[in-house]
Amino acid sequence: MLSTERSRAYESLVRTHGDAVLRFLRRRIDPQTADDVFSETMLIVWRRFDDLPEEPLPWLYVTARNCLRNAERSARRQWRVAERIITVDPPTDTVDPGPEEDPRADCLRAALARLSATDAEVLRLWAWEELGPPEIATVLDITTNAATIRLHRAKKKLRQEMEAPRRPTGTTTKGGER
Amino acid sequence: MNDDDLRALMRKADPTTGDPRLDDARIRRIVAAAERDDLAGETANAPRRRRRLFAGVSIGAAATAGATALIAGLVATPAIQAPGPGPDETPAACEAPTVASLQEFDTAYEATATTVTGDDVTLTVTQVFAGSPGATLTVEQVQEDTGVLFTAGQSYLVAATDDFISPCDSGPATPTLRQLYTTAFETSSGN
Repeated sequence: MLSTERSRAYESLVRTHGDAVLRFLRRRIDPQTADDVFSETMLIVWRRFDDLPEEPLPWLYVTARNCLRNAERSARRQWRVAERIITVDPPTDTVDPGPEEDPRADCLRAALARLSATDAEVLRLWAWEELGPPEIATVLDITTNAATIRLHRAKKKLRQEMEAPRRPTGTTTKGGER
Repeated sequence: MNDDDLRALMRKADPTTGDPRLDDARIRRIVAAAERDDLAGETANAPRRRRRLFAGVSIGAAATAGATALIAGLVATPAIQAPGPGPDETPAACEAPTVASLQEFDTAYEATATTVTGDDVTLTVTQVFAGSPGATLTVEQVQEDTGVLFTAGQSYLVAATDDFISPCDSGPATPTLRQLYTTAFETSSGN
């Protein structure tokens, strides 16, 4: 592919999918780090541009996820910004709920935070990245069957967490778990 | 709350809801940075270069079991997935059930579809491999790539967790599939 042709194709890819990749990162880490990791991700995409599959989005998410892990490792090594790495709870400082936010949204965020990292990630990929089990399987490097099962279980757990009564202080409800 | 409601609610909790779209200036900066990088060569952070897979190959070919197995075998490498049907839960291509995949489920049984009314299927259980499905149960019709799974009057082997029936691990009751179920659950049924 000629370099100008390659550049145009790359620009087209960035226009089509760049926003989704940036959002993927912003949903998982603070905005500043997300921007840095996004730049790194897109450079890697450029270097691997000839390897891109016909349906590139899951591949882009995998690349972003790998870059994010590198950033996390780097942050831990340097004993800084550990609290900026958000693996369970979305970055609340980027949430702009607005006056008409669904009152159940807070309940959902809290429930999501109580799930395991794996369950929460499957749900995020399903709801926020709008992926189906085959694409979730690609991103998580698991089989489609496993992704289907994990997604089903994660949805069930999230519903249970949302429906479970919050324990009043000093009171234990035996058998409260459904 | 059904799946659609749950997903809609999750979208409302999306932390990027208020974020502006990636703007033109940023896109141009990304492209310019990439073009400058042409001179920089490879980096240690870059994933291993891998063979181009399936380029120019039809979607159908990419969705074969062999390709799926190859995809599953790629570890920590962006893998190529045959384009799926969209963000629903119908797998684009099922892998053949195995003893290991069946053991993921807590309920397994053989049943006859006695009635099929719209999406509601009544199953009469004839053999239980695992779990406690009961004597009869009503389940949702299972969508497959080629149509629906349950037809009235036919017998099926069903693998499920709670109310979720795996379309990939359930199917018409054939001797081969029955043997697989028997092997997968013989330990648990013996308990």
